[in-house]
Amino acid sequence: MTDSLEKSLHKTLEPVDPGEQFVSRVLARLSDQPAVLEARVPPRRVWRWIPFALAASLVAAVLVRHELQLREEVERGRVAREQLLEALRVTSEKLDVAYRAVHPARETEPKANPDPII
Amino acid sequence: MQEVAKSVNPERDDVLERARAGDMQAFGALVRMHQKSIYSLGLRMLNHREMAEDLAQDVFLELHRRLPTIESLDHLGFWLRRVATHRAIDRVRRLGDVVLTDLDSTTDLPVAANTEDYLWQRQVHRLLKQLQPDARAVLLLRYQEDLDPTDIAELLSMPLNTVKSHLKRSLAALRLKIVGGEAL
Repeated sequence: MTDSLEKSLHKTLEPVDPGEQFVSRVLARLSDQPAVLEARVPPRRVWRWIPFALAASLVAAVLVRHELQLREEVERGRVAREQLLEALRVTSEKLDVAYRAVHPARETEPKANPDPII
Repeated sequence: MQEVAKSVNPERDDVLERARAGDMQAFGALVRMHQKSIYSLGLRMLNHREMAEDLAQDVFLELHRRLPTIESLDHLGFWLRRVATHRAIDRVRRLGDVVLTDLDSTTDLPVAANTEDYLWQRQVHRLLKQLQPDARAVLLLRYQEDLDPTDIAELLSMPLNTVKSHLKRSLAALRLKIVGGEAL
C-alpha cells in the first residue's frame, strides 16, 4: 500500500517545466542587474565610512573647541595685562601728583628758615 | 551513477567552470539543468504560477552572484534546492495560503491521463495545501526531488526524526483520504 502510494506520489509530483523562455527571462533580468548593483554599492560604501566620518568630525570639533578656548584665554590674558599696565600707569600718575604736592613744601621749608644760627 | 555521467560527459563538468568565468551560455545551461526542479518547488509550495516564476528567477539570480562559492555540480543542485525551499517556506509564512490562488486553476500542471489520475492529482494537491510549510517542503523534496530523508534533513537543517515524522504523518493523512474516500 505504502509502496504504491509512494509511487503514485512520485508520478503526481513530477517536476513541471516553466517553459522554453524561462532561461531567456533569467538572463534578461541578469543583464539588468549590473546597473542595479552599481547603484546599490555606493550607499553601502558610504554607510561603511559614516562611523569614521562621525569620529573624525568629533575629534575635529574637540580640537577646534580647544583651540578657541586657548585663544580666548590668551585674549583674556592680554586684556588683563593691559588693564594692569593701565592701573600701574594711573597709580604712577597719582603718586607723581602726590609727590609733587608734597615735594614743593619740602623745597620751601629751607628757604623760609635759611640759617637761624647765622 | 553520477560519476559515470560525469566521466562520459566532460562538457557537463566544464559548464560550471565556464559559468564561473562569466560565460552566459554556460550559465544558461546550468539554469536549464535545474529550472524544472526549482520552478516546481516554488509552484507547489506557493500554489501560484507567477510567484513561483518570480521565486525561481530570484534563486537563479542569487546563484549567479554566488557562483564562485559553488564547488561542484552536486553542490549546485543541493544549493539551489536549499535556497529555493527556504525562500518558498518564508514566503508561505509571510503571505499565508489565503492570498494564493488554487493550484488546480493553473495550467502548468501535467495533464492527467485519465479521470482517476486527475482525481488523485487533486487529492495530492489538496493535501499539500493543508500541510504546514515545513511538512510540505519535506514531502516535495522526498517525492518530487527524490531525495533521501537524510539529505532532506541536511538541506532543511532539520533533525532526521522530524523529517521522518513529517513524511509519516503526510502519508498517513493521504492514506486516510483515500480510504475515507473524501469528497473531491
